[in-house]
Order: sequence, then structure tokens, then C-alpha cells
Amino acid sequence: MFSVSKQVAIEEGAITLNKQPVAIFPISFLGDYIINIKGDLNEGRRLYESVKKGMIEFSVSLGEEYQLTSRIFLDRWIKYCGFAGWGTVSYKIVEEGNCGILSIAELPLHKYLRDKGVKVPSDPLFEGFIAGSASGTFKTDIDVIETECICSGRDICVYYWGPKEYLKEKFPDRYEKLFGETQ
Amino acid sequence: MNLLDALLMSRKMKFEDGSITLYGESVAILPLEGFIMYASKIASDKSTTKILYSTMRNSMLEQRNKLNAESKDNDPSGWICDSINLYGFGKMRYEKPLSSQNRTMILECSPFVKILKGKSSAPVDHIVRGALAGIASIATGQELHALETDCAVSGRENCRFILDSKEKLVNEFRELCEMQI
Ligand SMILES: [Zn+2]
Repeated sequence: MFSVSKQVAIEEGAITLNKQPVAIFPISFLGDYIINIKGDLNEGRRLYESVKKGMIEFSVSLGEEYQLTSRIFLDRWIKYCGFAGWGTVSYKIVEEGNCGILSIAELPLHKYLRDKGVKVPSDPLFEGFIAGSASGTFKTDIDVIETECICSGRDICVYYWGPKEYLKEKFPDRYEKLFGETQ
Repeated sequence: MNLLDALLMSRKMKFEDGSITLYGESVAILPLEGFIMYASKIASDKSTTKILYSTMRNSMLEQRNKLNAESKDNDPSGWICDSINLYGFGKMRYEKPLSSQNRTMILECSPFVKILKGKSSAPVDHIVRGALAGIASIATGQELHALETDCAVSGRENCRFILDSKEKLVNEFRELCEMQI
């Protein structure tokens, strides 16, 4: 059976997951960084795009797993997320192919943001993380919008993933803010 | 036994479904590629660089009480390196035992350098630099900052950091301080 913990190797100064470098991040660091750049949309985009690009490369570098069908690959991502401290994740494919909804219960990063008084979904880091993982999984350019968040009083965080056109049609206002030409 | 095994054994690091805690603080494991890309994009942007560094330094300092208790049980200079090395940002060692005369730290095998070598002229290890400044401040009981004076990204074998008070660093390395702290 596939086990995430067997894919992890820890040496002094280096942690790898399937031979790719990973690191342990304090949630307070990630959360405070998101808060510190919150007013700067351009910085948020730069973080989103960087993390997305990094996660696409990470997916490709998973090599053998990358060759799996997207369903199995997606299921592995979910396991990675749970293991790596990113909450309890479930998903629903909306259209066979590239659109779907990801729900996360007890996302520690957003619990932290909520406790720090953040009220609206505004986390380009985790959106970029999902966008890159989904782009890698479906081998096409996918973006992500968080539509519900425990920060704004919901029970879970909900993310829609899909090609830009899909998100633009479904969430025009949020899309314009996150990806639009004008700011 | 290395520090990580000791932490797992003593349940100071716990893996539970969907969450990980280290010394009771929430942590998460994240692939580094995204942050490495980000570090290369902000390399010449001093204001973002400083925010990244100070956010990590403060995140460590906020855990001062918990980490202080840990550091007391150990030799402080050794504990600084062991603690940093836990996170996976490279292998930190002190050039000589850390004291007011010897304040140089060496970082080997930075994952940021591995991917960005030759692709950046400015230092790229701001997250580990922030962790170093925070952890060393806790271990020594002083308000320390860290400068990366040489980064292996531009050709050297290892990265080199100087730890000192902000005042002394500004006196000695004014230009670097303007870029980094
Ligand atoms: Zn959320």
C-alpha cells in the first residue's frame, strides 16, 4: 500500500519527499508573512505565481507518480497534504478533466490567520500551492480561488480549481482581484 | 540520537492527522521549489527581502519561552545549529564555538543554492537567516541579527553568515544591512 511516510528521508539539514527537497515551516511564519504582504496585491501575485510554478516542477519531479492517472495522482496529493500538516482534504471533480472543488477541514494555516483577526480569504500561498499541484496533476494550466474560508466564519475552506476562463465566468469579482489586468 | 529522533521519541514533535506540532507549535511540511522560485524573484527587492527575514526571525522569537526551556538543557552553540538543521534549509555549523569574538556561521548544502546557483547575484537564504537570528537570540539571551555576507549562489562553496547586534552590524556592514535587515 502507498505510504507517504516511507517516501520521507530526513538528514541533518535536509528533508526530502520522494527525493525532492521539502522543509518544515512554522505556521506562524507562513501566516504572519501572508498578513505582512496582505495589502500588496502585486506581492501576493508574485508569491502565488512562484509557489504555483514550484509545485508544477515538484509534480513533474515526482517522476513515476507523475505518470499515474490524474485520479490516482490526486489521491496521493490528498495523502501528502494530510501527512504534511495541511488539514483534512477532500475533493469533488466538477467536470471530468480540469475543474473541481477542494474542501479542507481544520486547515492549521487558516486557523492561525483567523485567530490573528483575518476575516476574508486572502492566502496566495495556499492558493498557489493547490494551483501548482492541480496543474501538475492534470498537466494543463489551472488556477485556484478560495471561495469560503474558516476565517470568514465558515466550517471549512473551499477552493475552486479550473482553467482561467472557468474561474473568470464563475467568480468574476474575485477573479478580477486575483488575476485581472487592472488593480 | 539526533535531535529529530529525540523530539519524536519525547513527543515534542507529533504527527497527527492533518497537523504537525513541534514544541507545541503548529508546523507544516512544504516543498521548497515554490519558495526557491520566490527567493529568486525577490532577490533584488530589498523591502520584500527584509519582510521575509524579519517575519521568520519574529516567528522564532515568539516561541522564546518554549525554545528557551529547550536551549537551557543543551550547550547553546550546538543547540543553535541542531535547531536550525531540523527545518531542512541546509546544514548550519559555527566556524568556531560561538562567542563574542567568533560570530561567523557557515551553511552547507542550502537547497536554495542547489537550484539557484549561478542564477542570482544576491544572497537567497533569507528564511534560514531569519531562523538563525531568532534562534541565536533565544540561545544567547541577546537581540541578535544575521547577515548573509557570502552566498554560495554566486560561486563560493558555502554560505557565510555574521551574527551580531544590529548596531554593530550597521557599523561594519552598512550596505549589506540596507539590503538585508
Ligand atoms: Zn481558508
